Amino acid sequence: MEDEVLFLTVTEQAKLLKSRKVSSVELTQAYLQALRTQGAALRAVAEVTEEVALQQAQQADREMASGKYRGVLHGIPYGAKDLFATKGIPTRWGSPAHRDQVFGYDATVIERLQRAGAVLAAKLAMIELAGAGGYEFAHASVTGACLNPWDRTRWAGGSSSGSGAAVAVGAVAFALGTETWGSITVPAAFCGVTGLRSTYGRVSRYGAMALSWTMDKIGPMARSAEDCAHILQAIAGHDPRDPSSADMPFRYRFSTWRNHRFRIGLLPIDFAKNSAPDAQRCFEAVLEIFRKRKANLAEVKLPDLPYNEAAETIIVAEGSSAFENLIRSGKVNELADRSQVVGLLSGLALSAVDYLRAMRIRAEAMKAMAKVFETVDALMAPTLLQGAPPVDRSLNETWVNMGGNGGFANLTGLPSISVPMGFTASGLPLGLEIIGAPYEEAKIIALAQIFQQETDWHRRRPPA
Amino acid sequence: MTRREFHFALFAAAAALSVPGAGQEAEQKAEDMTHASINAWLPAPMPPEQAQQVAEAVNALQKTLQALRACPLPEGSEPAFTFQPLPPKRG
Repeated sequence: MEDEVLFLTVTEQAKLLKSRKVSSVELTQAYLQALRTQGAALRAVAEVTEEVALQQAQQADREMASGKYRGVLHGIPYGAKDLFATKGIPTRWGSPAHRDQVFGYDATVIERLQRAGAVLAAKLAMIELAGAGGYEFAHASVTGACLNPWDRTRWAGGSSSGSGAAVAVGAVAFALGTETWGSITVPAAFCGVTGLRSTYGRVSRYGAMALSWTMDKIGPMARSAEDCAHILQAIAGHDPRDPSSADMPFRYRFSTWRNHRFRIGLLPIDFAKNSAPDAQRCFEAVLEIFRKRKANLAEVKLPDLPYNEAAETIIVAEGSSAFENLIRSGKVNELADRSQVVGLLSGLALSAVDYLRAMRIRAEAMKAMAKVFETVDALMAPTLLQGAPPVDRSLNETWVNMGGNGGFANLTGLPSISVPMGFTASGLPLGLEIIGAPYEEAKIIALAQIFQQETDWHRRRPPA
Repeated sequence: MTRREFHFALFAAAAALSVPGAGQEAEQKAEDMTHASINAWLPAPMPPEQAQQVAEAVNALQKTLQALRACPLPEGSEPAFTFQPLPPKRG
């Protein structure tokens, strides 16, 4: 099979499968090979699920041959971040303390993708426990530091490290990631792929490792915004096994939004102060595209609230609680990153009153953001202001002038999509982040799709 | 440690602060109380180096908490979660 096929979007591959130009077994075998070579070289893979993948691919081919077509994802190979339970297949949470963990059931999202006919090709590498206690090094993972496909001396980002890297290098057609604060949008930006963080509650978390019950969100990482829409459609929706899951169906039609006059709020960024000339150059080009599309662009100032502090406090408390068994058993000391251990232990000292204060501030922040979205359809800013940092140095040293929009957005459960918007002078990808109001994924996907119609950043491939 | 003992220790630490030169002692008492409360969760007490790192992390979090506490909130404003009693299944 031509290499190019592996880098097509899911939407494009679906046409080849439906027209029988390519079979799911052929596509799956090619991706399995890429996972074992490119994926392994980047340390993006936790487990290649070859047996399951070939069974599902054969079933997909049989069904399509008999005229049963399940939709765009039918026969498409994907990877799942290794915190989603997959029956009988190890689910290690990126953690040395959970090396032997195997669940006897599938997470809801895995079940839904199976129902859509997608093919599970791999469990993908991640930062241990999705970075629960905070981490200092990229190698905070049982699989080691995940390398950036664009420059292997750089990090892929986290905590959905393998998901970002595997999509970028053409080792899977799409991946599932999760985000508590940054874990989809950061690897998407660093690896030059499209990552969608859904609204909190949009996708069932049943069977997904919990880091922070009120902050964890699930979303797809793929080669285009349109692909993300198809994947979200398959996995979204209420699940009685996850009481936090919302009864809000997701449907997307680009034609609904194609000619919409979007009102876009620009988050204020001091590019000069953050030494970010490349991000500024790329972002200004983005704005030019939307100006030509007659979007209404205006700077928006967010209400002055301690968003980051509230988000951090909630994650500290909920993280230490979620991993209480790990802490009480003493196995917390087996984690790869010392900062994680210290963070999880120190979270035990946080008072309930401080946690509740953070949750009260969250309620005020939600009201404040609802007011902001009365005047705009979406907020826009660079996902981060710099390219990926070196993989072998402390993030305490290298995470400098990075910027980021994760605090207020994750605290209040907002959806967001990060799409490639260009490169730094040294060839590292930069991302554009579009943040929407709760349950308005359709608007931000449409904006991203408009941008991807006008540019080809999402088509670029890392060096071989 | 009982709740009564915990409160007594808190007040003692606060009183100690009012004595000239007693700040360091009070800080040490507060740090010891934090270690005790964390060690109560663990199968074995933290080794000294880890305890020191945890104390530093707890101190670092104080800045975050100060920002939260400084944020004015409407009287009685509710936290962002609701509690819904679960009705039983009836035949």
